[in-house]
Amino acid sequence: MGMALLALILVSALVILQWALMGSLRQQSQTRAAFLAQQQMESLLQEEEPRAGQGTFAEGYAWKAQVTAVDDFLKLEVQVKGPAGAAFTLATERRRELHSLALRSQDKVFQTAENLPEPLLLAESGSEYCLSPDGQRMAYVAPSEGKPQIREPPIPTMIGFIFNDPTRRRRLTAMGVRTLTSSGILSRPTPGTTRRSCALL
Amino acid sequence: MRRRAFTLLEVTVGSGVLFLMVVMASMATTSYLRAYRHYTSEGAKLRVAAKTLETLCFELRSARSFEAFPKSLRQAPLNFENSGRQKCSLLLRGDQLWLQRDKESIRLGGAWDVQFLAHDGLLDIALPMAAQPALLTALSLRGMRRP
Repeated sequence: MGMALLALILVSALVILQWALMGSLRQQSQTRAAFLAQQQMESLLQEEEPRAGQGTFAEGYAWKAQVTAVDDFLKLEVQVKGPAGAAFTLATERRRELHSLALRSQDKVFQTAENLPEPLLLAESGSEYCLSPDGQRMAYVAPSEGKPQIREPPIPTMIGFIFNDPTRRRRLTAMGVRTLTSSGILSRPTPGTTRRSCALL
Repeated sequence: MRRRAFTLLEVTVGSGVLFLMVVMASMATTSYLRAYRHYTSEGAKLRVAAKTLETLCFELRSARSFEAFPKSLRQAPLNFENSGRQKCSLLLRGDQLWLQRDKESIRLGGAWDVQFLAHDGLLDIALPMAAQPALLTALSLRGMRRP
């Protein structure tokens, strides 16, 4: 009887210790999962068009990302699962499109956006710009290198659409295009000569 | 009822089994306690490293420009300018991570090395740990001027 009681106490004590040990391991795994979730979230936020997906990290951790569109925002959720039953979920929201802003300071026109470390100089004279009647577009005179190249429609009637579409904007930027004139004329800087061109933001 | 005594052999075998059980139970308990102490100590180390890494990320998020990304803080300090246009420097003194901000020194926590790798607009940060895999995370460099 005494031996049976001793064995029972011993087994109970070992089970409690085992439970505490597993808790400690799970806590460590959870901490690592939290940092890995942060890593994956930063990577997701970095993308121009975040997409849902899944993958694995080293040490037996796996991640799963979900992207849900909510109005002008994207709801991003990253879940990381790891050893010892660890699971950590990180969620945030970001704008679908990065918004930019034009401003006048010290008689110069600048453009700023959330992904720019500092404002870009658009026009050296703050008086050389005008706004469209709806106040949504701005035409300005920008100093640029090279001879302006003039292109015909279909670009003119869709200026805003083209520059608001990330894919088309990337393609145009890759071509060297940085400005669009108010009449829809595409201005492509060419090295060699210095010109002033009219641009639309 | 007739009472019977145990033979010497029965007493020896009984005592031997009991002794064996007690020894095995003691060994198991000692082993469990040692493992528990080990994992608790490793857990404490990880928590300290996690706190250091979190504080480090918090400080780096305030950066507006970086001069260069050293592969390891053991090789060179990480210099950057924060959003308040203060010159900052991350450096190691012994096994402690310090942030030098203008003339002010702030201890961020314990770390014997911090490794950086910049790629695709991300800064991978690794905090190596003794007898454990490194603690990893990443920071977006969006909106920050890079070297």
